[in-house]
Amino acid sequence: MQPAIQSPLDDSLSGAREVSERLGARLRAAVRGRDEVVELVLVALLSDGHVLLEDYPGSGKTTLARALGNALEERNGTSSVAAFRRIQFTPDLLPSDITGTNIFDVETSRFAFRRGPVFAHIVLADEINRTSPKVQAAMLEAMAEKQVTVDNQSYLLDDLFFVIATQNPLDLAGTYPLPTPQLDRFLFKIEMKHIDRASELEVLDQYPRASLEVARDHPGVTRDEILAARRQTRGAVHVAPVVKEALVDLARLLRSDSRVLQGASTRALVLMLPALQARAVIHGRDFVSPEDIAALAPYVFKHRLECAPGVEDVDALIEEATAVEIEKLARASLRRG
Amino acid sequence: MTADGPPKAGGVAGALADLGRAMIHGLAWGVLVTTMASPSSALVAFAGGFGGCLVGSQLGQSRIRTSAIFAGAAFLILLTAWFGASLTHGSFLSAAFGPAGALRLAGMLAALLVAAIGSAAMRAGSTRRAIFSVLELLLVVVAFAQLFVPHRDGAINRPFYLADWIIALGWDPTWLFLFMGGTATVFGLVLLLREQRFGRAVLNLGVIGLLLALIVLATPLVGMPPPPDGGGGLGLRPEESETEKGKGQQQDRGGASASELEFRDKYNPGGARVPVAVVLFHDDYSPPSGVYYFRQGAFSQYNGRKLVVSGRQDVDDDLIPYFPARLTEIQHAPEVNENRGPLETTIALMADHTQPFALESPIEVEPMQNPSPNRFRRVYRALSAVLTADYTSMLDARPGSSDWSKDQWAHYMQTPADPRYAELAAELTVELPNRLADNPVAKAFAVTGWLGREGIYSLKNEHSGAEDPTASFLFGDRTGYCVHFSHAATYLMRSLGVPARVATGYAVSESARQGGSSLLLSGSASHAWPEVFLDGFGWVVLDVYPERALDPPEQPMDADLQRLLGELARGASPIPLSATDLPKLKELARRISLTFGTWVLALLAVLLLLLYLGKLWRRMAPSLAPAASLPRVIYRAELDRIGELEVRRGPGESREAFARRVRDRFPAFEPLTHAHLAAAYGVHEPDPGRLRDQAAAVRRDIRVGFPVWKRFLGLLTPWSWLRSK
Repeated sequence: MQPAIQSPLDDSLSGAREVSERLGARLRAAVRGRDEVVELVLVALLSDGHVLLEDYPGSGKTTLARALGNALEERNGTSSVAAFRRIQFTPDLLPSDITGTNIFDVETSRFAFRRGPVFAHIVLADEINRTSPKVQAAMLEAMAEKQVTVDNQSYLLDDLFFVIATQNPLDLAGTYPLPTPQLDRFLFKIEMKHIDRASELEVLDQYPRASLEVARDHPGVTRDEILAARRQTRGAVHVAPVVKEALVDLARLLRSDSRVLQGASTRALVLMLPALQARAVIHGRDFVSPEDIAALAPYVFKHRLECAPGVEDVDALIEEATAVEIEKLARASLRRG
Repeated sequence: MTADGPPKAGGVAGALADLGRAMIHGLAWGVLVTTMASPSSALVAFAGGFGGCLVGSQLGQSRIRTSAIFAGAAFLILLTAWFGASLTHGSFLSAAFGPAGALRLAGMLAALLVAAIGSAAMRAGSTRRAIFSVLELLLVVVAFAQLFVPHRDGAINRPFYLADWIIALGWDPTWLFLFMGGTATVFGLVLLLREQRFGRAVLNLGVIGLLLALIVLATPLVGMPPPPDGGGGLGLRPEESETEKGKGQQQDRGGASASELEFRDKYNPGGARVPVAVVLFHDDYSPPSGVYYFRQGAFSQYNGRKLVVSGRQDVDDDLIPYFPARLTEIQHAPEVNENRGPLETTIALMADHTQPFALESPIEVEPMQNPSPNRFRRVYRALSAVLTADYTSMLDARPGSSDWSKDQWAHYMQTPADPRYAELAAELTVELPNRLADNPVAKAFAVTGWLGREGIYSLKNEHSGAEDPTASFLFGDRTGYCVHFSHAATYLMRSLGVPARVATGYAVSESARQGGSSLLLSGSASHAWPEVFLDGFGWVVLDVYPERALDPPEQPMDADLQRLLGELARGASPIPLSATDLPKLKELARRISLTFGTWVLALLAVLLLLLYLGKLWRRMAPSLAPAASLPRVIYRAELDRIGELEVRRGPGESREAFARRVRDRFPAFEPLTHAHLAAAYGVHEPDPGRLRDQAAAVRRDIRVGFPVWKRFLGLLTPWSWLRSK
């Protein structure tokens, strides 16, 4: 549920807010009982980050990604770039299978580049841990640089290049788990839990209509609208100095924790800042509030921390550190200055 | 609407209000200065306050920072003080206006500038922040209250005209002064009525209430000193019980000679330290005895029991018979010769005296214009021929005067019929060396010396019931006070053929001047001493200085008060009072000895008070805060209210999460939280009106959702605000 607008948004932000609402409504209609995940995906989309979903088969991840792609497709039929592509990662996949390859054109007697599935707005990278590191590296290069390199020739991807990768938390035999530095490329790692009873019932109630059909009742958004929303979010959402300080302090606190071997990188913080702004917009604010930090910290930090052996509950560890910073911020806000 | 701007009054009404306020400022400063300096300074201070207030209003609307205004004011006042000091020290003004004129001018200048700067700063601060209007209020209330609060034993400012009238009506003047203090607060209220904001009004009301409580509490505690009673009676009152018992002839208080020194068993020294007069020396003078004697009256007539004031016209004619109406020369004043030099003094009386007194021996007296009718009853100047010769040079002088008639000689030779006086006198002059054996002056010295060695000074004795109290003293335990000593010495000298008498007045040690030119006389300086008449010297004080005393020694008078009153008598501006009040407070604090338990209780009470004050402050801050911090203080106030009901944010819980958690009980708290966060982390200006509405909605939630007893309990908890985070 979205809270009502609490503070008058800047005019410059009303567009971003409207886009996020429209898209959110559509995604929620498609995927029942996953409001939290939908919000995180929206945040990532608005802040130009990528998402790693860790969940079970049949939990709606494909539906979510497709709904997102469909929402874009609506008014984007003429684009040369596909709205949505799904790549099923398998051990025998080759990098060129995803990036595209040069093909000799008999008619022109030249090599022409044929684009791979990453040339899309929304890419669902299914079971990314099942493929070889070689392919993973190609995928991650595409994610980080927004370009692919084939035969020393670089091809730019679309500005709106958004990856939803998934991996199965169980059934790890024959997989290539992503190393921590590569996980760092993902803004969020979201662990999905089973949806609640009421939501599950709702899904069944929709039958026989497919959820994507239901979603079509809601209006979609265009690529340009999303890009504009991103620009607006970065430009117009205020991040108070104390919030930045709290963010840095939080990262340092986690690094200095004896249970943590390696803490979050500075890049994580740089990526997190637009995410905080995006969340503020979604919640109808034109400033980043401590609540945003509290809400996003677990998803940003969990896959970036390498913990000492024996440390089980990483969530609790992050929660502890976040609580310390939130408390500091809350008390400071009552003081003058 | 600006949250904290000055009330906008338009056109004529606004100008009138400004003028009224300026008048109040001016009056306050004028009244404040009146008690401390000359009337001209007070007038100038009025002008300063008036102008300063008007300037301050403009200053308040300028863009200068509040802290800069106050710092500037403090700096300017310091500068004024330095300038004033250098002005009086420099020679330019003194050359132009004379020393007194320079002092007065410097005083006026200081009064004008301090009043103007102070008023401007206070007014400017008050237009900016409500909290500074308290300063304004304090100025007004303190100015008027201090006018009526008797302090320093009623010496500084005692509205005689009011107090005397009340005492004459038989009422307790304390309540009059309380009433006056209350009236002073009315002036504060006038200022208060100009305030349009509720919070300010409540705050100011609180200050007024506190002041009133202080006045009511402090006045009975300090008490009104009894009206000073000058001239003799040792400045002491007889013990109540003694007058009630009615011991015969001692009940002569009501008559004209009520001030006459008496033989009494015990004196109650209450009010002895009340200043009765201040003497200003026009020249330096160090008496050969080390004591200044101010003669007021003399007892030379023996009435069968003691010496009394003589009714004869031809004796004791060196006294000042009455308060002069114009320059009066004393009939038989001693001549100014090699033994006596002229010295001028100004005497300002703070208590009624039946007869004027002057440094012995006066030649002429002249009434002076009273520079401060509030403080002094009467001021006169006296020219005295003071003793400059050494006591040894008196040995060659002949006792008595060759001009005296037989009657006069006989008058100064009267003694009781008791032969023991002559016997004792003969006995104690035996010790004199042969060379001086027949010298009457040496014999007189022998008498005082012997009495000083043998007598014991004490205000408590048991001689008043005797037929001849002097005999009871001299041939008994030799314990008594000045009246006993002077009578004994006079009788002994007279039996030795030296004309002697008992003189009364004030005696103050030279050291009491403490280096200044003024000398403060208090009731306890009242004294009686023996005198002998020497040809060529006139009446010479031959006092007895008892080596042993049963009473504790006198404390010296307050040096600052002495100097201050001296300056007032001179008509120049004095030093400020506040700085000199501290030692007195310390003394008071030392006197209050509380047990440990009381201290702990007092500490707890103070702690409780502080807690409640903190609570009150946080609750009232929303109506006082400037617009910029309004969201914070409003949110804090409502957070406190919710906290009182034991609904508190958990540790590490964000404010939004807390607001969501309590949403079902305080639905209105969530928007307020968001407004607070928007102000804390955002960039937008908050809307005060909307904030207040949101806060009111939260209060409504509280009223609806919680029973009265629970809210009341929360209100009573003094520390609730400490726990709301």
